[in-house]
Amino acid sequence: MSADVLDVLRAADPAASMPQTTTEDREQLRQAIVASSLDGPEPARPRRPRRRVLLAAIVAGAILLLGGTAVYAAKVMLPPLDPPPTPAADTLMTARQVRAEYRLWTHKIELPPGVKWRGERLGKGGEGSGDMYGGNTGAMDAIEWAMCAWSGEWIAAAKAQDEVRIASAAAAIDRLRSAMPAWHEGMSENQGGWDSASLESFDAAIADAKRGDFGGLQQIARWFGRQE
Amino acid sequence: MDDDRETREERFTRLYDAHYSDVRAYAWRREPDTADDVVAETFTIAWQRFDSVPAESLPWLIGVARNVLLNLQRGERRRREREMRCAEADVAPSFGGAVEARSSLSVALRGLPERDREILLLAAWERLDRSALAAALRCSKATAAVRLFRARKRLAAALAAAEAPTRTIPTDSRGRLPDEC
Repeated sequence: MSADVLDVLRAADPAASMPQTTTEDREQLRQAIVASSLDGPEPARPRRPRRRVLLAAIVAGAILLLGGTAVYAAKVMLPPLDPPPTPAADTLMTARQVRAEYRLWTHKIELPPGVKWRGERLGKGGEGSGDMYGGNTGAMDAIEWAMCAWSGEWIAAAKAQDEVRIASAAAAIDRLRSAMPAWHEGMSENQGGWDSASLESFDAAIADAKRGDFGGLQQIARWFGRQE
Repeated sequence: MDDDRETREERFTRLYDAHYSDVRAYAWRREPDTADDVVAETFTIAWQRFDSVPAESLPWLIGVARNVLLNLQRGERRRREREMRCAEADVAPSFGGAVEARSSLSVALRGLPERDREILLLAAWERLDRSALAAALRCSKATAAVRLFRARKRLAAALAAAEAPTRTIPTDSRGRLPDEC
């Protein structure tokens, strides 16, 4: 019987070779900390509505004035995309079903200009392979790729300071987020979806991106864009 | 007021002495170069927000250290200003020499989603139980338990795949395949 994975990890703990700090160094740091202000960091300033109004005006103006913006405007106005229905607890999908679900979702979701759908990574075993997959596998794979693509588009648009593309990418990401199925504790592994911690981290990343911090969005792109 | 401050300092010093090594080990395991910066910032935040530190303080401190580390990493990424590409991302974290020395473990860990890696390493290296994992990751105990269960299964599967011996096709003494004439 193989060793428990936690024991395997513990046997490889890098802290075993961690150099120790001296008592003096440790005490110096402690004294510096307790000598610091007790006031704590300044609370975050509330967002000013004026700035949001100004940003909205810039976006609206850009949409109206720039040529070739009809496509972007249409994307911004796309209705929310509903998540797939929760599969039954004992759902298992064949390779063919996964591929069909993936293709169905590629028709529901737009990608940024110039980005193509990646090949169907899952369900390649073929009907004879006996490979089985949990529910929503195809839908989630399509959503992941689109999240990656639109995250990259948003970051590129922000770099280029292209407000129209930013608005379009933000709307697309919001739409994808609304389509992400949730997995709750107590559900079976075959009822595919993202757990609450993952969804919260996506929400935080999207909120950060709307404030101009793209660290979380880059992380999402890495997770979802990885070729496996 | 002075008494208050002294009490606070004494309590903080107990916290600092009790967990300095734990927090430093947490940071060093993940990013040795910035470990001391993470320790300093984590305990500075603990000092400034001492009233918010729960009685079970280590998971809280590790949660703070985790956020400090993530912020440092984000800042570093921004400085590097790498062109983000969907498929080719610099997703190869370092797990320290002991893990790197076991290449199959390193490969298996790299292949896991970040959230799986994080909860596994917190359980293995920081030896946090489920309730402490929940506090460090700011989620419910049930969620932490489910995430750990799933992560362990994924790592076990990844390890088995990484350690599987390369299959060799048996040949006879002249190097011929069994059914080859």
